[in-house]
Amino acid sequence: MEEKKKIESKEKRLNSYLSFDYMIGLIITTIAIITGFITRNNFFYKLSVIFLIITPVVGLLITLIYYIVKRQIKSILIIIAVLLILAASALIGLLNFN
Amino acid sequence: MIIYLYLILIGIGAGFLGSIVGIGGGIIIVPVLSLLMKMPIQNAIGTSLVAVMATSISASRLFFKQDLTNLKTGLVLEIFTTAGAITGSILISYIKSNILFGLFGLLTLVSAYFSYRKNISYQKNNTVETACEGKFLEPNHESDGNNDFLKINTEGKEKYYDSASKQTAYYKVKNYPVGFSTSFIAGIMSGLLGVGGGFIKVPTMNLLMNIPMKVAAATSNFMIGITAVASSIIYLTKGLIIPDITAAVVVGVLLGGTAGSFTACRIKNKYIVIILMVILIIFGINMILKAFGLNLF
Repeated sequence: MEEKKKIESKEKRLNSYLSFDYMIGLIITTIAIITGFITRNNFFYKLSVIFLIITPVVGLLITLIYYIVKRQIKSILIIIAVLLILAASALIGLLNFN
Repeated sequence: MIIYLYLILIGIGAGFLGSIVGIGGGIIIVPVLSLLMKMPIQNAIGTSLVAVMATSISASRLFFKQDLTNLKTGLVLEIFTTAGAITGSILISYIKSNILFGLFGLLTLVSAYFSYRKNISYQKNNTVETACEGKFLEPNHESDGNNDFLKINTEGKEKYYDSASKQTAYYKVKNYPVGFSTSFIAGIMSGLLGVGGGFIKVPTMNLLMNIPMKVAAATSNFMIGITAVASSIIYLTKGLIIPDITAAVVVGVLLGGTAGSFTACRIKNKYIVIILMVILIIFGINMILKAFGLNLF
């Protein structure tokens, strides 16, 4: 246990931010689904799916901001690449490209 | 209303078995929804993708807390996985249902084999202990000369704290090009068939990229969520995700996954693995038969 405390992980703080983000995402999704079950309104179900999609994207943005603050150029470029691909998928979806 | 109850139960079953055996729920959800609930396979895949995403978010949260996820490696590989997922999601419009049934049937059979190897064969032959019992599941690391992650020389190496052995483990990630290609294939499978693809990524990371099993599993879990995002957006805009059905399955998967993770260490999973394997083989054969226009049930 003491040794665990001694480890100075560079990304420990980032991990706790991400863990918090994912927890909030899950809570909001669960609330949206329960509200949907109670009200029988399809809007809340859609909202729950959208929140599930948003949660990892917010996680990526948090990671991007963290690395920008830490000035880790390589990591910044990698995350931007992932975000660009996700944006491309959104664009493909919106244009309904088949 | 009763249909939602069924869907929640399907989700609970998939989440429970998936977390005990260590496979994603998608491999169970798609056959059950398409074969038993008679849902079009494209919609079943869309539902499965969202369920897989929920499972990934739920599991990743815990892995982040334990500081096990290798974010940098995960993100580098994710570029290729996400690109593969988009390719798979676009391909689904061009591939006929019977081909999808055939592909998924094959995938189900392969998955049954990997479940057997991971949960029964390794334990029998390599006398390794499972993560639940407190040690790594590190097959063949001793024999293939790939076990330098535990050496003390820490220069340029990644590290994580292993709570079981109470020591810091070091490792150096190798063979990125292999990781890129398998990640792309895993992405295509995720986008096309609605599965996480962890059964490709985890062994690749562990055996070929020199990443310890615990870190590989955590990193794969993190990646699965982002990959599913890319595919889900396309499925959602194509109308292949039915929100109310998906929500019910997601609730079940989350409940089942939580229950499974609590009970996984307390029960002997040998019989559960055998039962699941039989189910997967039946589903796999039926899906392949369905590809040729035949039906078992």
